[in-house]
Amino acid sequence: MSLLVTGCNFRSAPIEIRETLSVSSQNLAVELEKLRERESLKEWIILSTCNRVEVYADVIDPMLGALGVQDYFASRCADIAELQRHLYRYEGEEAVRHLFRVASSLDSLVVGEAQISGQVKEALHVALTKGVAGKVLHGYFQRAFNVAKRVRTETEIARHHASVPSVAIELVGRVFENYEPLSVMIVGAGEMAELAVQHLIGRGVSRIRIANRGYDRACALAERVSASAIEFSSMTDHLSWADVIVCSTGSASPILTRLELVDAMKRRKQRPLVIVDIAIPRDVEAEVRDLENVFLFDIDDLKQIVSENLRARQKEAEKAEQLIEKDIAEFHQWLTQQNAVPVIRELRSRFTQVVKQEAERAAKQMGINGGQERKLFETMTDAIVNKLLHVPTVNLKHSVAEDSDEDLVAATCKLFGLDEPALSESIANEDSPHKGNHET
Amino acid sequence: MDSLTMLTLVVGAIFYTIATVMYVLGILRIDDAFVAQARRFLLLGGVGQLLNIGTHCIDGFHPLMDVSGALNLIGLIVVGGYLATTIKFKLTTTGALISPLALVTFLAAAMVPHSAVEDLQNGSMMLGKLHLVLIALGVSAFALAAAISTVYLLQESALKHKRVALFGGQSMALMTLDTLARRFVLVGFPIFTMAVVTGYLWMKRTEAMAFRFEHLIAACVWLMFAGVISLRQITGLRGRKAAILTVSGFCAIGVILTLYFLRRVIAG
Repeated sequence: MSLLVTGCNFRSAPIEIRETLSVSSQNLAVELEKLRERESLKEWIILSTCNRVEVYADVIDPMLGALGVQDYFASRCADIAELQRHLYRYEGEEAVRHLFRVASSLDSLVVGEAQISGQVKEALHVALTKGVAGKVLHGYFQRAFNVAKRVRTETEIARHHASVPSVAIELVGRVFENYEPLSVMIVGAGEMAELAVQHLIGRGVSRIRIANRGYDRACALAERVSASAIEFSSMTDHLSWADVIVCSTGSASPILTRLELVDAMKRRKQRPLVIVDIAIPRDVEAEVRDLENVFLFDIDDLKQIVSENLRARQKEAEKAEQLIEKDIAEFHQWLTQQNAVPVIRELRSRFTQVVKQEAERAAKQMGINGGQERKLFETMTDAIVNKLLHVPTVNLKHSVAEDSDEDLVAATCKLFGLDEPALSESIANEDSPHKGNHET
Repeated sequence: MDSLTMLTLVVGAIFYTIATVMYVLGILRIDDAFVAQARRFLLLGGVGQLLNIGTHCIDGFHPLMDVSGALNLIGLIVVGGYLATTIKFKLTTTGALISPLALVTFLAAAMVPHSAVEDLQNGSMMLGKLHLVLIALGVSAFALAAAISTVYLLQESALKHKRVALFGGQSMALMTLDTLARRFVLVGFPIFTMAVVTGYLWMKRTEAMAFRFEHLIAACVWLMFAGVISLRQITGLRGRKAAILTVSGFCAIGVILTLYFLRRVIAG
């Protein structure tokens, strides 16, 4: 496999290095162009996210190609010695493994996260548009998307939520089936409150009221998220209206008491109420937990659930790794088999040409111009070629499929004066057996 | 019991057992594909039970003649009602309760010897049959309500104790479960009321039937479900308390059925 990957990620490099090397989406096309000057790169793609900056390349010579990419990185970083310590490099099968793991979010900061797939697709798209990536990298990346899709569908790696706001929203869904008709009150107007509102709006919630000690801040947030602001002092009047309450103030003592909620539940006729208290110190009295039809989750509960979910994802990641290994083995086998196909085709063509020429000459000398005898000659020539090449064909296919023996392919080419196939052409082969719906 | 009746009994029981195992495995998330298979086996179990009823009919014992037939009918209606509900609602966890319940009623029906209910020969046949069919329908609706309420209680407890991973993806939200249970109670209550009335009238007409302890329990069951419906409207009783009352009401029905079962088995 001719793939090369060079770069750094959140594990190998501190944020200062990654910041220096990162490429914004606006500058991506320009940076791709800069790699054109580097030796030995036939095709290349830059993948730059908040957790990694990598160059994927189809190279003529891996060593020269790696030097070229490192040179490019060095041109963007003042401290070359420091940079060298943090870069990694993968070639061939290792590079393919890395690409598959990245696309499947196994190499992500949060395993199973959904953004990386889109980011990899975007990187491919820009490179293809710029004309610096072609059939070879396109083939590798499409294969990676297929694998990522299988990982997502055949494992539960993406099933469990891994952030506090998304876990909170999932818990709301355990009580209420539909989000659209819900009434939500947000107490506090800080960053976490806004994040929670955005998650809820993403699920279709439209009835939102925001209460904050500073009414102006409540109005500002309400305007940003198309909600309505209420006075903090009148918050308890709205308790019976809300199906979900998200508390995130900086209050030193609880702002929602058990007594207030008992009263609110009576007015709500005991309709369920979900309270998400992400403040520290807590905004809601702990005794509220014991109220019927009230479901209270504080920050510790949410973090515990997140940590359980991440453990569950890690378990699924092991299954995903096995899936990837199996796919790499199949991919490798398919690639090496492809090596034999053009050789066999060329050999057959050569033999057929020679046998047909001689048969033509013999037919002329014998005065055979058409009819049954002509047909007999043609059948005979085909049969000669098939019989002569049957054993070599089987042996060639067997040697690359079972023994991964590419020397026999090379020897056959030398023996019969054929051109050795370029390995990279196989991956770009339109007859890939795994072509299908590549988009995840 | 002839061979065809035995065959349908064994086959139906096996299917119900497999369905139970598959529902449990589906809930434990060993493999979600088990859930789809569980529904199929539950359906097959229902078909087996239906065929079993058919063989009894051939032998002259139709389901509205005695306790055995009524038990079979209850099991069948519960399975049919559950499967119909799952067309729209994902009730995997409830299935793990429904399939063993169906199995128990099926086996219990097989154990109870056939005997025409007393005094059907006295001309009260229509009233008796009406009572049995109403009981079967009403009890089945309450059984479904109780199964869903049980799932509600389990899920609510898991959520309150932050055991979020339990039941994840295998059941509906708590409010949906609460609403479904309420609907089954609303459907079952008027039917059960008519069953109690027809039962009382039947008892009055047939002087041979003395007052029994089961009748007292039936009255209590009626009061419990009447309470669940009324309190929901008046005080907003819902959620945990409503679920506990519903389950308790069905447990009381279970006591009644057990007494009828024991009485028939002992009488031989």
